Amino acid sequence: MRNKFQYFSVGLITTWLCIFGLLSFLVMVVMSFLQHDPDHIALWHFTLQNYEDLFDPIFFKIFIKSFYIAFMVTAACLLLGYPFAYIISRLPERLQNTALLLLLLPFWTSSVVRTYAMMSLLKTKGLLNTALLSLGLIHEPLQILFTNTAVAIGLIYNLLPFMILPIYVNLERFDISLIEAAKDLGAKYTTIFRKVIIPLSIPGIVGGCTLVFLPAMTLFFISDLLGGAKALLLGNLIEDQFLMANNWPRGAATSVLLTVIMAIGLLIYWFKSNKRINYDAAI
Amino acid sequence: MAEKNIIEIRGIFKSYGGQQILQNINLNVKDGEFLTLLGPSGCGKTTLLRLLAGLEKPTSGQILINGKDAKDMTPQERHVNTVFQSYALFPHMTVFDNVAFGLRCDGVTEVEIERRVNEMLRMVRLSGYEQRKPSELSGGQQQRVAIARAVVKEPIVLLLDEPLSSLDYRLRKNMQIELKQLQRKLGIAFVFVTHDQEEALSMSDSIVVMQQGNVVQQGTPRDIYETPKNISVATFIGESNIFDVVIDDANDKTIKVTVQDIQYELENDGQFKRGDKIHLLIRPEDTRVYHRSEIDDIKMMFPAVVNEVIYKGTTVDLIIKLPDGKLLSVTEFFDEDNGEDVTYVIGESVWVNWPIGWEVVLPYEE
Ligand SMILES: Nc1ncnc2c1ncn2[C@@H]1O[C@H](COP(=O)(O)OP(=O)(O)OP(=O)(O)O)[C@@H](O)[C@H]1O
Ligand SMILES: [Mg+2]
Repeated sequence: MRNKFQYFSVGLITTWLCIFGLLSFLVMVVMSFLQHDPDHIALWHFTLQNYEDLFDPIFFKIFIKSFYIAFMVTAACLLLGYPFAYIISRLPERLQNTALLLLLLPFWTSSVVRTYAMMSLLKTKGLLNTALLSLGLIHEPLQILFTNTAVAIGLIYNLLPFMILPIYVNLERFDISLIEAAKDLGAKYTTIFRKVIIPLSIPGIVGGCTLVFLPAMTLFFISDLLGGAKALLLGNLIEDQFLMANNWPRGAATSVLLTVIMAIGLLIYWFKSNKRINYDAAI
Repeated sequence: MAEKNIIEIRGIFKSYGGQQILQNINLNVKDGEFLTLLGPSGCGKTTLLRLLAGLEKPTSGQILINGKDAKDMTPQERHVNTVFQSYALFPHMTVFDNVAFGLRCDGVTEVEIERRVNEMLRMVRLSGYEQRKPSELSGGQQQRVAIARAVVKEPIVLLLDEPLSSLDYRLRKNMQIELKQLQRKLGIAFVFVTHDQEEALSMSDSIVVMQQGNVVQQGTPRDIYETPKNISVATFIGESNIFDVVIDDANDKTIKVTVQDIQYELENDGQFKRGDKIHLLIRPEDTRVYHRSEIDDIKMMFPAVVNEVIYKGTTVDLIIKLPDGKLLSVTEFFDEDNGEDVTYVIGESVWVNWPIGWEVVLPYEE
């Protein structure tokens, strides 16, 4: 009985992933090798042109910039999210659930709506500027909206929970007796944190960074709404090629390239962790 | 051996959420002594060690370490190290780094660390395993890393929470000897937890018997074994044959009791009175059986039938059945010189007695 249910649920998830993950990715891969045709989606004719186009310096600049923003956003999420996750994981169990609920509550509203709300906070006469002005911290309103900073703030706000949750899950099942053993051996709190807690939560950190980094490069509507015309993420590039330039093959090539880069990153981690950071077996 | 108390525990109480775990524990650990906490599972042994290590605060009472009140001392400041029951090895560090951890915290130089860690690993027979991760070791090897990690710090007291429980018989015996030698060599006090009475008896200078959060008795292994304070200590430390009897007659010096229809006159060392109910304890190795043919004078002997014969190598253990159905355990040692015949067959009728004076008389408890 239980086995049947297991097969069913695992089967369902696998089917789902195959159709919407693997299959659509394969469609993308195929598409990326087809020729662009203004009148149709694509022309059934093999070419490497789409990938060659990506070596255009303009694309390259967007790539770099997008990576840079995503890197900063991931770093910021890690710095903010780690202490947050640590504190939640040390709360009594009942409070932990409440804290997690509060963390996830905003997600019941559409991310686009929340980004509009963010606009009204950041704009020249928005809440943030009004507050800072009336506190006398600044003398003229800050121009935040439609800058890279605004995009970064929007991304951090939207992605922070994806950093917190994997780290929390990791820290929550952390074996307290290891901390006690470290104390017993005379370790200071900073040493315990550096030498024991952080190294053992690396799987959570990597999980969180993966969940933040990729969306941080591709959440195009945040860049559209908060960055104006100036900030352009890789996501915007892909979006533009599909919807504005109507060049599906090149859009496909861009996203395939992105996927490959991310996959290489993950593979490197995976190989390293298999060899050296075999924590989970021991916990 | 110095007579200084390295640890003094005064009137310690500990409760978790209203539930009393330890009640009024008073205990001294002398410098350089091997003290064993012995008691059944859940009696509070680990809790007491945690209080000594500073990982838990007592609800009330005082602990002195080296003469100083430990109330405000953090675990880091106590110079007391623990071998945890669950090992608590750092899974991401190699064996070497695990053992070196405490020394690095003290800022010992790397050269010195290298030397001490390697020496320590040799002592626990883990040379060659320096670069392994704990997950790549067997349970017994992990346990030895845990011992090495604590001992290498040369604490003033080492706390060991059932450090040998997952070793096989031979390794366990070996480690018992090694630990004992180590303790003599270092000259530091060991507080050793076990619920194996044989281990406690063979290793300790002093045994503390605990039950349900209380210290029931403290003494040398011999004290505890030969003059247990109450029936639960007696039954916990080794096997016993117990007769529950009422005293027929008593004076200051002696008591008279009837066991298996024979009246014995025994020493009165507990101020027992006529009519008192007592437990009469006879250890299996003090219970003597004789073949029918061996014996002429059966005045102070009672009959039994051999129910079970268990060959143990150096001893033969018998279960014998008394006429009223009660079963007794008997341990007979092979004694080649004496030529005594210790081959018994099941169903054989035998005579039983014990050397008068070797029994233990304890007040009756439910
Ligand atoms: N953190 C805790 N919260 C509540 N109760 C606890 C806690 N730690 C221990 N106890 C209780 O205290 C009692 C003594 O536990 P302790 O671990 O000291 O036993 P022990 O003598 O070490 O047993 P064992 O031989 O099985 O290791 C047990 O009844 C246990 O349930
Ligand atoms: Mg215990």
